[in-house]
Amino acid sequence: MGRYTARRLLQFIPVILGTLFLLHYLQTLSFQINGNPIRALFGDRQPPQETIDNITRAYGLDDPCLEQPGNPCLGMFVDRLKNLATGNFGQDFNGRDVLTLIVEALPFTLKMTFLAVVFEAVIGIVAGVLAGLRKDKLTDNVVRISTTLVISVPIFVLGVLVQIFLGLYFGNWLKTREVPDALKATFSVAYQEDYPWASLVIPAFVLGALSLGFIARLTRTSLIESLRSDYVRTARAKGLKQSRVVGVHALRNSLIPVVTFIGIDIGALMGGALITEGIFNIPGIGGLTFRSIRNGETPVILAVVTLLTLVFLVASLLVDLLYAVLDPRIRYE
Amino acid sequence: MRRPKSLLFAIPLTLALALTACSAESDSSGGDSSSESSSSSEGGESAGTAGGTFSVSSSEPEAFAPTSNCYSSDCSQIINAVFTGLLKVDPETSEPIYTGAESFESEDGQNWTIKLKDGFTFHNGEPVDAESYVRAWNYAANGANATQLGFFFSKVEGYDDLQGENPKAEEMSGLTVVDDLTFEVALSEPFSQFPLTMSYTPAAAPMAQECMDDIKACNEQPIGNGPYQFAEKWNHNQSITLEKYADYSDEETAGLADGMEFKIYADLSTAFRDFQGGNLDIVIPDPSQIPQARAQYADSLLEVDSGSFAYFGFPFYEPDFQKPEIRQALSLAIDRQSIIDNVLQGRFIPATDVISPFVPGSRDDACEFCVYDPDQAKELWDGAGGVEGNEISIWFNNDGGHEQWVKAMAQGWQQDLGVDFTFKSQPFTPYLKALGTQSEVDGPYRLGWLPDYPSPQNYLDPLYGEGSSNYGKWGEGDSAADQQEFLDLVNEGDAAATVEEGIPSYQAAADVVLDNMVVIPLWFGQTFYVMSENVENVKYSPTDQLLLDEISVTS
Repeated sequence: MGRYTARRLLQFIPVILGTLFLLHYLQTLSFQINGNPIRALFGDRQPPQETIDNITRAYGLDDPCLEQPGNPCLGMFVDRLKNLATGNFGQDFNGRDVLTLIVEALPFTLKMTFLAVVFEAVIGIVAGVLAGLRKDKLTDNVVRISTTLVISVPIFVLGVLVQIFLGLYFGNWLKTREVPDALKATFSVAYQEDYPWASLVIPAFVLGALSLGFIARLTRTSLIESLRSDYVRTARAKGLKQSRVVGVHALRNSLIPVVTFIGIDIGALMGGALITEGIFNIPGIGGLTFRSIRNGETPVILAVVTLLTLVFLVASLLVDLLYAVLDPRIRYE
Repeated sequence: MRRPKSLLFAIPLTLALALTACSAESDSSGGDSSSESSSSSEGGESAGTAGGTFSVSSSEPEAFAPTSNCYSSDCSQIINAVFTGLLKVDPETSEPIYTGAESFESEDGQNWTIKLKDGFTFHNGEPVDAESYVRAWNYAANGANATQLGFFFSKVEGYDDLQGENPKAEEMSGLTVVDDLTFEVALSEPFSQFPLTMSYTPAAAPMAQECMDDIKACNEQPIGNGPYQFAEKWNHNQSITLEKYADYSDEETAGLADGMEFKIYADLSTAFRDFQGGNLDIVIPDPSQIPQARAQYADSLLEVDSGSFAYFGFPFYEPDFQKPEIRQALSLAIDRQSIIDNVLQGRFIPATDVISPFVPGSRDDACEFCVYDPDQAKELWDGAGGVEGNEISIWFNNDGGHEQWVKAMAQGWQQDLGVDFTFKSQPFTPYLKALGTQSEVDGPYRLGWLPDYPSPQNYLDPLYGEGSSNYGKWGEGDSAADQQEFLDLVNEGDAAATVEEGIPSYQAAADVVLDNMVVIPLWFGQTFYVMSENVENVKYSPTDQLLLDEISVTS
């Protein structure tokens, strides 16, 4: 297991280098084709050329290779790697360190992702188990219909609907009632500094809603399959209680695809936070990415995507290691 | 057989129920949003009670130190509260009001003597002296510092020596400190509007020595000289809280409220919903929410002229657009008022001049070709023989919400002139690149302008002069004589002894632009605020945004 982990960790290096180069090349191309992002900083107003030149130079975007479409600008890439190695992630167009920006934004996204994963795992698995145990009964139909609804509504529509109905209308109604402030903060339109957890609950629910639907359906199918298998029949024949048959024997095996999904989903959630954070005004990675893409802030985008790559890699490693826990037949050496 | 009993399966269902149940509630509860301040604003007209705090929506500001890196309304709004500049402009009369300066004096419009008021101190206790202004201005102009506003000093003598990667000098030769409260500015040519340019506080603000020594720290918690100071460090992407600066010396600009909070939103529509939820006092709604805001908050709206100017430019290097009749016909075939009413939520004022109404010298009948007259348009168009292939390309950027009104305008052209159109739209950065490449753009292109200071000069020279916003290359070839006439008139205005005396020349220069239809003036912007019952006396200046120091808090 230790060896396996070490080997997997070593594999991270080429993946990250490859990602970095790909990003670098895409951004070089974008610069070469779309032109200098510094111009867009000034909106419709056009400052004198010397001002643009000064700022372009200050951000290291004056390299002549950025004028030649298709040139991968290897020199710039090497410089960038050297900087990254010394912990220098560069600056955004307002002169703030990218590392600081990420360190500031990350906690919000992590908190929200954590809540979303808890939501989707707990509610999704419970709903899936209930549906699987009562196949074709009312419970099953309710779960199937409600998950179809959740899956088919785009997240930005769901987000705005939840914001208006739960955050605004219900929140305003709640304000006139005698309830704890934290509950009022939970049902609010936007993130509130004073309630860093409570005001993240609803955005996290929106963020996790789509995956919640998938997990419920995945658990349901997988459980139904396990319940039909030989070892469950054997367990039943031995006279084990239903709770033990389902909880220990059937469910544990059924959870393997679910855990895989959740693992991959952690990365996806952090990326998907872009929309949810925008709607609920959460100052996390999503908002940072959105602003940086709009302004063409190369170093920020590069750092954020590298970070997301790392999250994906670590999550999938953890998932693989978890398999062995769930299914003793799977071993790593 | 034991069955797990749980309510959890019901959650998706209850959510759906809650959604439908609350929608019925919406009509009644949406209106009275503010939670505690249910008391109506007593006292009626008596604006001006001191004390209290209020909150305003904002986007994440760009920078506070150096202030010369702030070229947007979000940071300048806050800088205007944290710094007292040399002068500001009265939003109603457009007269300059000296705030930090005692006087601007010049015999010839070229050599200026600026006297400062005594008694101002920075928030760290340092005195505000001539040196602190000269320090800030030299920093701004230095090319190595890459500030966004350095070009505000391009008319100061010695500015050129500070440009480039390794500037020849560190200080502009045109700035001389005379004594603690006096300094002299020598310009390279006469410029009567110079004091007005310095009303853009982020460019002109002084800088404390402590700030100069650690600009990064100063950016997080600015050391200003204004009526308000940062109560704590800049809470990025969340909020900025200002409190009164106790040792502020100037009673006239001291500000009424005890403090204010800028809540930072990434999205305007969320800010407005948060306002509806009672968490904000002053908000700018998203354009799409304006009809709703009008319906719901009819009594607490502030709809004011902003200086923004929208126009269509022409590529003068294209033979088709060198004919003035074609340019005039296109302008006459735009039903501005109808587009504003039907597509733009009534948020704009049709242009009758190239100078915005709030600026002295603006006229409401200057533009002969800005009325909607399809018959005359068709006549001019046919008389000039139309355009090649009877098709025009219309250029705009597709990430700024322009699609709808450009479409309405193009359909009007098709209907009134019988011309076909194609859209050439792209995101803003490549759009600017295309404009910059110039020869690439082959049809009318959309752009806008927001002035830095309320002078007619600021609507003329940057757009049609030799400057870089003149993408259409007006002034090359046949139009060279027209542009020269224009430039001479602007220079005449610049050289006038006072702002007022310059106006006739500027108006004549505007006439040259309008007679030639160098651009199609479309409309001037309006800014739309909604406020809660918690605030009173909210005023707005087209360049300075909200007049934060005059806002008073009720209750």
